[in-house]
Amino acid sequence: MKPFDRLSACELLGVGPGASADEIRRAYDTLSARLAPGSLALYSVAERDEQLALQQRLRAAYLELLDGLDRAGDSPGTAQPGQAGAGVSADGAAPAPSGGVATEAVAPSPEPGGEFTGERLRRTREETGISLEALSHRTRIRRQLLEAIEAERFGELPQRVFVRGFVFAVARELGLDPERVWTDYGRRWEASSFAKRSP
Amino acid sequence: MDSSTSGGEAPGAEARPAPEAPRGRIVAVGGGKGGIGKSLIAVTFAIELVRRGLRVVLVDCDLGGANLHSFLGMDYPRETLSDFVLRRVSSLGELVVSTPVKGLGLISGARNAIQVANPMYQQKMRLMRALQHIDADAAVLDLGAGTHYNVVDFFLLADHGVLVVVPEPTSVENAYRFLKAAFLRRVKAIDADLGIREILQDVMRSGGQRPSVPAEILRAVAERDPAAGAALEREMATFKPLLVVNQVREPADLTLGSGMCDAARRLFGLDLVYLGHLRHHEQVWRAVRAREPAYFEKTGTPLAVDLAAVVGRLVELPHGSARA
Repeated sequence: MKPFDRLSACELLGVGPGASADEIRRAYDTLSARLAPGSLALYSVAERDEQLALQQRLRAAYLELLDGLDRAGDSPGTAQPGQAGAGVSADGAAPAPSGGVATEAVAPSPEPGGEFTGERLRRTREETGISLEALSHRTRIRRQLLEAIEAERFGELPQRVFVRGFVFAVARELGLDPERVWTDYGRRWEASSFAKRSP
Repeated sequence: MDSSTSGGEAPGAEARPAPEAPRGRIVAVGGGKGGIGKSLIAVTFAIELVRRGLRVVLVDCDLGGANLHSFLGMDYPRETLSDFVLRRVSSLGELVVSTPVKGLGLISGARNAIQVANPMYQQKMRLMRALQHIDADAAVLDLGAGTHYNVVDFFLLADHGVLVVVPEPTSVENAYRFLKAAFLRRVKAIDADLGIREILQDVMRSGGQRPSVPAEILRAVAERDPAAGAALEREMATFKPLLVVNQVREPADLTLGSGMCDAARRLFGLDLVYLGHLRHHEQVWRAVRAREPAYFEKTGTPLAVDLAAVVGRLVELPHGSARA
């Protein structure tokens, strides 16, 4: 457990709970540059692995906050008045700021290519002509971790929140919809026995 | 601060502080590593404060290697802090000598390292009390290198503890080490009633994975005793060292200060306040070598511009922000 694992997404990015998408994006861009792995500011206070984990955690926090904003923005428009659950107060229930669970509960419409497995990520990468090295360079994820993701060697991967960040980053580089990919991949990760040891 | 016009009289001149006047601010300059410009920053900070109309006394607290007089182009003063520690003089005021910079006084560091580098606890407390009551609007303390508690204690005593780093790994490493040492020292001094000291010893002995990380210490203490944890958390919130990046040479160096603040917050759970940076300039180095303080007094130099920004941020801070 690293010190920053205990921080909420807002604390990690140093933004208030009501931050706009722009503020969140700016905070993330600034922080991920200042605390990039290998930066002088991290010298001696974080091992290489921890520096990478911090970077992934920042990315995950950024995505989590943006996802939260999307949901908060969608709900007033899409929610049908008749569908509001019993016991909702008259002033309208604020959407619960639960972290990234809601989207995964939605049944995914099967993609033409089937489920997003590690193997499919590898195929897509190879078809796109991106080497593991190039992907590692662009996503700043270690090559070994990328290999573990593709081979679904879940035991070599860190906690869920990091894996989610990794898979999002990979999906984006491959031009895939990160949410879709994670819905499938996350389920596979959860189904594996390794998922049970971390919260 | 007070109503005296700018221009600065010599220290101890006619304008005696009114009885209700708040005591002067103490600024301590440290940073763990040697050779990173602590003394230069102490001298130039003091000059910048004088420029703002304050009566300032520079105190050479580098008890093993005093050299501020050299920065000011002065000979070694006859009387030094040793004379106070060894009770040859009764008040610090007797040790203040005027410097070539109008409005700036100097108390020189101890002559004999062996006698005074590790003063007895009683003597150190006496010195600290005296510093707090020095007759000036501000006292700037130049601390020695290292993270020994005799250095750290002066840092913690100050209203504003300034941590100096240069954009080099060794300096960054020492600054973080200094930060942790200062935090631990501060925490150990918390009111014994709460029993934090005992809990802390217990926590440190059982040593988690990273017992020296402040955030982890806080958590371990809070688990054992929520009240002590809350007290510790309040203490952490008031511990706000200031950061200055010296010898900035290239654009990449500019993000170091903010990056260290970000890292300290996220990895230690500690807040640093970034005051800004001073650019590296050959003239500064030449002025130091030539013992030519006139350069430090010049306005319009890159050094003066940077100093005005950094010290401007410092004087805007609430009085005593570094202490509870």
